[in-house]
Amino acid sequence: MKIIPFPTGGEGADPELIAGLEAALAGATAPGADAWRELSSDIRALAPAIDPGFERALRERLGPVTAPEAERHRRPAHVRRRGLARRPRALVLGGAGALAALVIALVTVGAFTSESPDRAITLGRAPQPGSGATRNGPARAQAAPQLKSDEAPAAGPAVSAPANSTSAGRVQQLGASLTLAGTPGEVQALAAGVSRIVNSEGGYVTSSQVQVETAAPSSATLQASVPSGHLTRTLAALGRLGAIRAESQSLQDITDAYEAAKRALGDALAERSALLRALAAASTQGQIESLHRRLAIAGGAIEQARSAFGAIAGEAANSTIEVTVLGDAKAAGQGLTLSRGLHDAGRVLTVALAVLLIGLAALIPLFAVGLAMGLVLRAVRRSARERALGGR
Amino acid sequence: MRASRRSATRARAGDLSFEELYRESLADLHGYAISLLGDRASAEDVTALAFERLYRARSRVDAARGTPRALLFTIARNAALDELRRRGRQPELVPDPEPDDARHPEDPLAQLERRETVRAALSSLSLREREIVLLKFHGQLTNAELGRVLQISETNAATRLHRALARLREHCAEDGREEVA
Repeated sequence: MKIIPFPTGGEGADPELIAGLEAALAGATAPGADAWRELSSDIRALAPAIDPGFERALRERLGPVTAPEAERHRRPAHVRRRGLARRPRALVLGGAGALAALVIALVTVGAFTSESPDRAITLGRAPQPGSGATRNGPARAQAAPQLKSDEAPAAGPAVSAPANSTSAGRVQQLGASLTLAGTPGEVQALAAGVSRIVNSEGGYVTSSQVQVETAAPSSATLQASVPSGHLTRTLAALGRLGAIRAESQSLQDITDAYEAAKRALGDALAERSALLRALAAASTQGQIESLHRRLAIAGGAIEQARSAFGAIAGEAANSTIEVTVLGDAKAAGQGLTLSRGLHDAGRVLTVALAVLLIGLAALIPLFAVGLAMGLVLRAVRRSARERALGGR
Repeated sequence: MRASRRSATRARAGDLSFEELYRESLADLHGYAISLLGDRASAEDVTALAFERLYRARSRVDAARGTPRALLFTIARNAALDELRRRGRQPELVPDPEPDDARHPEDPLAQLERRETVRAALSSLSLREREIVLLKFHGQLTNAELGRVLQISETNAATRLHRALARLREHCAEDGREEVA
């Protein structure tokens, strides 16, 4: 007599039967639980016992992961390190990522902190004692060292401090020329920026010429006059507008001319005073008429001398700046300022975003196709496995 | 048996380390594989492969997708079905267990007789029915876990299990030709 004591059930899915089986396997006491457990025990007992040799071999294959915790901790450090060493891909990827980040950081920091060699040399050049100032040369001309500046150099300017218009009783005329570079599309904006800066410093643009061409390099030339006391600040602000291709400063000692004009004016005034005194002492009609004629001439001379003196004093009080803006693609790549760096960074990000979008546009369909193929393969593999069980 | 149930419960709760999972599941997994494949060498391959794959993927195991034990049996099932597909033939059915009197301390004869009946009944089940019975009793899996392993719903798994058990019981009754409690 063979007794199979597991509980009965109907043909359909009997929730109670299945729940009883679940409870029995979970160790609960329920009606029929012992019978279920006995069946479970019988089925499990049907499987041949595991081969000790296989168990040993498998434990060796799986290595330290199957060793008891205490035994794992007893292992030497070089054995425990195998965990990390067994993930070389993670190490390589992590290292490469860190290296790339480091390189990018170094390049970025280096680009923002270093000057171009030419520029560094220019800024570091010692002033030439008693040098004559040049007005329009591409190279930078420094003011004579004996000249005393009445303005401190602007913080972080792209342009060095100019000489003052007066120094130790000398009267000097200052001038500067600056060549800025930008893209062809930036020429107009740079020219407008020059005007804005000059006006904000109390100066004015005396002439400007902007030439924007689509087929040829664009350019703009502006002549401006600013108070000599604001020259340093003005040049610094202009230098921040764009990449500086060239700059120069000029200084001309006009003390002699100033003194001469001053003397001429003084002489004219003195002559007029003398004539007035003589007029007061004149007793004859002939003397009086003669003195009146001479006074009229002296008045004209005074006006002329005053005008000449005013012109020379104006030259000392105001400095001329000539700004040339070049717009060509090559020029755009030269020099680096913070604003230009930000601008370039924005462009880089824009380009990167565009590349990313293009990449995504190409990758998304590929990903969709890959996903579909993966799903199909998975379904096929599952179907094949189910067929191994004898079909659905 | 009670210890096995306890460990199965702990494994289901996901609070076993890999070493514990290995220790608690090795015999069950091997039993399932050898019962399904009917071939010791293949069963050992499947068992080793399942543990190795789970170990390699242990950092990516998503608890929401099932317990480690259920995942282990899923891997083993897929590997076993691949092996069956490769062989292109049905397994040798449930192999005869080695005689081991120590496993039947009480009334060894009656127990052997009953287990022979169960073995014969299991062998008469279709492979699909046998598979779910083996998963249930070797794997000690809940119906929800059965559903995950078989990639069907829990209800569907319960229905399939019920049908398989009913068929098993029928075969046992036919073979035993005696009353069934």
